[in-house]
Amino acid sequence: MTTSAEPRSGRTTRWRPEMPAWSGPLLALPLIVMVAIFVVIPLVGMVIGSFGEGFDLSAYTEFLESAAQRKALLITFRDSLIVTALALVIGSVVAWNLRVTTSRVLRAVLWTAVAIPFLMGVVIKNYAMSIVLQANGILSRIWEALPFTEGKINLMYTPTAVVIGILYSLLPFGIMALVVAFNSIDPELVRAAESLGASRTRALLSVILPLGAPGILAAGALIFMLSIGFYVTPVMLGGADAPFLATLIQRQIFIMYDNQGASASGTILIVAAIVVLVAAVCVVGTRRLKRAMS
Amino acid sequence: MVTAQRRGRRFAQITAVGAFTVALLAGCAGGGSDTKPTEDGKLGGNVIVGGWGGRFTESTTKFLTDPFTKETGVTVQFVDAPGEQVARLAAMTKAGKIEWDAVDSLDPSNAFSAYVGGYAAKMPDDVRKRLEKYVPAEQLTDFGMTYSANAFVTGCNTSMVKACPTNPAEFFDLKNFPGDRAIIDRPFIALTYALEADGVKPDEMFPMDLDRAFAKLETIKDSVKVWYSAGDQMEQIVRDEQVAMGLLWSGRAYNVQDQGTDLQISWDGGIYEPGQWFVVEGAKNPDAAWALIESIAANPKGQAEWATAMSYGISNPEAFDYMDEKIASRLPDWPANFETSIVPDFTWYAENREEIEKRWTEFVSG
Repeated sequence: MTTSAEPRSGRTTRWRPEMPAWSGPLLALPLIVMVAIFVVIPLVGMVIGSFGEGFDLSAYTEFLESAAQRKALLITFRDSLIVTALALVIGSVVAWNLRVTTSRVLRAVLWTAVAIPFLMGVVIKNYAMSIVLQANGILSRIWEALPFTEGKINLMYTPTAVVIGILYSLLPFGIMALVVAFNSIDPELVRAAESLGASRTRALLSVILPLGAPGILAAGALIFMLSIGFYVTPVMLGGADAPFLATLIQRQIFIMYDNQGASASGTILIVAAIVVLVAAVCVVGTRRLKRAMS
Repeated sequence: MVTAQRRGRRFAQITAVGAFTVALLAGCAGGGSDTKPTEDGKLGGNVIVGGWGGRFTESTTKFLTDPFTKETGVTVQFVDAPGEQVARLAAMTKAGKIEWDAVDSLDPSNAFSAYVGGYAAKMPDDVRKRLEKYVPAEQLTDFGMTYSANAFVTGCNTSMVKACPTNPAEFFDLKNFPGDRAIIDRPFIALTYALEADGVKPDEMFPMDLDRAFAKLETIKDSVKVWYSAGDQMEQIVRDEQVAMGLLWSGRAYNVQDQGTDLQISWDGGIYEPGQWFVVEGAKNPDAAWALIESIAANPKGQAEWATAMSYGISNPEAFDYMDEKIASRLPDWPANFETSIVPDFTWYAENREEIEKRWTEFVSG
């Protein structure tokens, strides 16, 4: 029939190569609702709770007046920054090796080493660490057996033990984030730089590092944010005289029944963490971030 | 400082959290059998006990409550709530639905808080009279029967130091008794110990002179290498010689001694922690619950077997006759140990808990 070219209008909509604008938000709706229920509402509740009835700043002044809380905040940030720095250095080496290695054995060994602490329970991980670190532990015995050292070393209940414990827990997170970041970098760039006369170190530092900067920053942010909230490790491996803020928050809730004080401590912790992250972004430079992202 | 207004609100918040918890728990606890006593005044029904769970509840069931059930026909059901007994009681009271009739062996810091908070029933006079037949009067508090007592003692590793302190005063004497120390991360126990060392007599100790106690603790603070919080941790630091001496949990200290550490244990100035069996205020079956406590008091053989299994204190001194002397002489209630120990005023602690804990945090972590 000659009239068959007439479109069957009304029955089918015209196919469009792009999805309509509303489909994105709609598909993300379950996630948005979850985030609202489990993240936004509790956080807002915590901030409101920290002011008590009306606009009562007493919990904040109490926090600032308390030497213990100020010290705990400093310890939390100091240890978390050390953990972040160590995790990024060690993690970058491991992640870059995972990126470039052609050896299946090395890859398997590295992934296993990453996966084991990642999959272990928190208490088991820390208990294992306490066996390693205690005065009669493995580390101390090795130290004793070395020819150029003397006596035992005892790391348990010290800030060093806390840093080691948190590092052990968070290194897998760092490595996985870094592997993802490094996967977008062509390893051939190293060879290209070397062919132009750069040493291997120079090539890695001035070619790969800037390209990886956003990924490294993201991994660092992840590690830092996870680290400042640590509770079990400081309790099990650290001493009562150098607690993390999370430990004091626990005491505020369960021993002193001070929910307002605990909310204020939590708010201060989060605000301080955001300040640190913004500072980190400034150090890396927004321009470099934008360039690397695009 | 915390204002009274804030404190009130805080309490409301806790109870609100508690009420929510109870709403969750109500589902689990439902389906219990009839808990009312029978009509003719005879005991009957079911007694629900808030307990510690695990091996503790197993031993209590086997040696103390099963004989009671056999004798009276009243069944006893345990609900595990280790460490959160008071929080649960607060929640039940708030919700107006009391699920428990009694609480098993609650440590005094919590038990006296429960009493001060109004969650524990006052002991009726007739019950007290009957209990006094089996239990020494000083083992009965206004609301409960002291049972499962714990104690803190002065322990010292004789292979690590030349001179070992044998009492609180010597423990605080750094000049004559040098060495690294460990003290429990529990303010009320540590402060009591400090005042003992400072020469305060037990009958003059409460209300406590907190300034004096903290000042005394300050004198040895630098030598305290570990403020331990868990029993495991205490055993490990003593066994691995991380500290030479400490204010130690008695049962744990004997454990370490049995494992081969040259630990000297002194009961002079020991601190007695009276755990409490008590009946819950507003319980559905209080008569049977009191009868259960009386039955435990009147069962020295069961107590002896229980203490042998658990290494905690007993309430009926006759129980010592059924026990191995080695085990008996290690218990906080053993006359020689009890006589030289001090029983702190936990009611005073419960009333001043917040201030004590706040100052403690500043002292240890500040």
